[in-house]
Amino acid sequence: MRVADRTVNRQYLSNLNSVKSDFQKTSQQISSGNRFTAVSEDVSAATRVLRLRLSMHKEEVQHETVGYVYDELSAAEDNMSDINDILAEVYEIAIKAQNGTYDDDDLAIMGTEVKNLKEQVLNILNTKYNERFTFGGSNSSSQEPYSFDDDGDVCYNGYKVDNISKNDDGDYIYTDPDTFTETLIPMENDVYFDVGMGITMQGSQVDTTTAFKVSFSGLDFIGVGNDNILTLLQNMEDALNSGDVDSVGTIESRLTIRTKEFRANITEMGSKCNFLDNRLSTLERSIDTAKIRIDDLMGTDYEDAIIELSMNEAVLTALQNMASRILPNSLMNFI
Amino acid sequence: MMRSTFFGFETAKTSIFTNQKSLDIVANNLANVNTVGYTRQYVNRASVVVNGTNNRVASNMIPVLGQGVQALGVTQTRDNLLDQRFREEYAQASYHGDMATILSGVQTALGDGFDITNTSGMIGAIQEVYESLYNYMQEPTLDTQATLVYAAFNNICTVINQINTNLENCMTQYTEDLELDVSYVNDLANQIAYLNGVISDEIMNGVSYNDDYGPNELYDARNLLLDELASYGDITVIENVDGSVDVKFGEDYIVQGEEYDQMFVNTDAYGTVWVNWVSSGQQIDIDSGSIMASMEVLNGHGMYASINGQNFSQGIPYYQNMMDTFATGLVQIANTTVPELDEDTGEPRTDINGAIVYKTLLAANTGDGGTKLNGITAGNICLSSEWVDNGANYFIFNKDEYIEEYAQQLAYKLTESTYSFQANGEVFNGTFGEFFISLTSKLGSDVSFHEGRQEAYAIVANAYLDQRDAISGVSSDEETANMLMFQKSYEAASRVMTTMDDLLDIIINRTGRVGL
Repeated sequence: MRVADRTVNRQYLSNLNSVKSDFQKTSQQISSGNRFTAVSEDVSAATRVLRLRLSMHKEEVQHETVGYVYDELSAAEDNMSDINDILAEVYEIAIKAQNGTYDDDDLAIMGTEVKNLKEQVLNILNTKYNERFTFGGSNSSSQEPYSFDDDGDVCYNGYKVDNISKNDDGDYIYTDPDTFTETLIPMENDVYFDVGMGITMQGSQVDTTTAFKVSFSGLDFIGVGNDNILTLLQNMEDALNSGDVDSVGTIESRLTIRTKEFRANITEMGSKCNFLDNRLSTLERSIDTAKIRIDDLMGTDYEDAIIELSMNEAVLTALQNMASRILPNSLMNFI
Repeated sequence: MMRSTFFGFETAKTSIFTNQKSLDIVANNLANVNTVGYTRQYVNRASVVVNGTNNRVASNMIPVLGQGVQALGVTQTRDNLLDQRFREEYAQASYHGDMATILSGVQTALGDGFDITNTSGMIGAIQEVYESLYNYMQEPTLDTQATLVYAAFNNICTVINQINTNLENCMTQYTEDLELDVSYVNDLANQIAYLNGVISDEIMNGVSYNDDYGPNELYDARNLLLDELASYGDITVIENVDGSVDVKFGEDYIVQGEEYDQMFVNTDAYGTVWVNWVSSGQQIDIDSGSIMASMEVLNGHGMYASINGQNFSQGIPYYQNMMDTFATGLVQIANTTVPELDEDTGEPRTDINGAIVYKTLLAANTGDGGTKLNGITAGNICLSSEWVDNGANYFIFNKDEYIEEYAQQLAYKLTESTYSFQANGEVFNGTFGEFFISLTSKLGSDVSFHEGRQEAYAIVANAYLDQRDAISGVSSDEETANMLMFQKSYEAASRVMTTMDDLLDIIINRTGRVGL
């Protein structure tokens, strides 16, 4: 076969271009840490990377959400612990009042103490975490959920708690004592957050098994009807102020039952915090796994890349030697 | 037997002349060793033919035998079959190479396809919407959180608009490139026809050339033009007896002897780009080459192309339609998720039919500062005038109650649940992110396919080029060897002359002078 000069030149230039291109690509892989960046370079891997990026980002956002909810729950748990401490103090006052050695003035002083403690409980129940009342259901208005009306009765979102009960659907309703008309308590909308449990929805309704409920109705904690904590504290205050020690004992017994239920809620809150703690760990692991997977798919394998780079250098050097020593030569050089 | 006294001088002279011409051609070959399109030439030589048929009576031919060598002509070494095969492969390589280049441009227009680590493209915009909605859910009554949602939706609209603008720019740029290509092909046809005329004139005048030995340099110039023409479309070259060639571009003649046709580019009302013949007005009919690639990308509407002139490739119009579908879907979901508040009940407001009235979040830009709800495209999608005029907190359902569910629903619809995207007759069921990823994957696959095919065809085309050069290319080694050979032959002929001179010296000067 004849070998024309331009064949040699063309093939040489083609090979040189190819080797330089490989060299540049390997250098790029090493410096950027990415094996490729365009989808067309590795369609299968790139598609998986894009999908992983989307799902990983979701998990990162869910991780932030879980952190936020965890903080909110911790704040609620702290508040509930404070209420628990207050109830313990009220219990001590009630026991002290019943030992029969105090006169009416002493009992009135105790009544004042209970009043102060009641107001502390009221303040705690009206605590806000960011824009939402921690124990106010979905209430985010400027109107605090708990208050005492002019009659001295406890109200929740404007309705007397003594007349609130739970219906068969689990919703809190207010029953008008005169007309017996039932009204759903407003702003008791359940709030659910996606914490990475594979949320599903029907319309605007979350499947409650796939998300985490973060709203708390104070009614769940302090109770409804005339056995709610605030009413009992009010009753205790009134009994002490009137020197009715017998009533103090009765109220103390009812308050003790309610306090036990309240403590059960604190325990439940603690277990929710533990659950969220586990969610945080699970999401962190999942995010780490996704990062590793992405790196596997598109990250540069430095050992391979450096060996490749060495080979590129060797080939490039050989080609350049060929250009300087072999290409210029022909038979003409020897005659 | 009787020979003329100076017969041998004539014989040696033919050798000297022929070798001198051969050395000239060697010099010409060496001079053009790097000339693009040059074909190796050589002197076609033959022993001088002697016959006795002119004599009236039979005579002994021996005295006139050995009259030397004659140069029949200077010819070039070329294989027409290899030319044709090379041009076929070259047209295919050009087609796939241009497809890969143009689709890479489209890939760049889509952003994420060009750089999957990019966070400012569509994937990043979808992520921002998701994140803003989740942040909003933590405090769904706050203006500041609503502002994040507002900014995220504004950003995704801007990204969609930008992609659409990029695709339109691609369309404009590649249409202009096609016009330049067509213009250049017209020039090539003109030049080939002109060369046809010159070549046939040279041959027909019979002075310098004949049927066997034509104007080699003109042949080279024409072959170079034909090679170039082959990159724009599949060509067939038919040789004529007068030395001219007819050239078919696809199914139609673009050059016939000295006549040539021209093409023109036309974009119709449907946006279809046509390349038609000036002579017949018919569309060109080609199977490969860069013009074919441009037309496929510019008129590619996908597998359900319907209007005449559209094709089934996934070209720029295909991706434009897909982005329009994306925009329409986004508007449809955004505008049917967050209800208006009935202040009296605290519940979503309903119309007289009991249907929930939703807030209009996204719309189409009318171009005069307003928005409309019909005719949504990737080019005009924007925040609705309701959202813009009322401010970011228009998104908030109820400022007094913690209602996060609509934001959750919006995030769910956009990123979790399946939406049915219908465009170009195709149906894609998935999330918005998955839809966009499928687009970039399709495009990436097409680019990868054409790059691979281009590489394969280029290898074959280069193999033919090597084979062609093996025949037609100049080898300086070979020319040097030939130079030595012709030099020696020239020296031998000169030596013959010296010897003949010595012999004649004996006859003329020294014969019969013995003893003087």
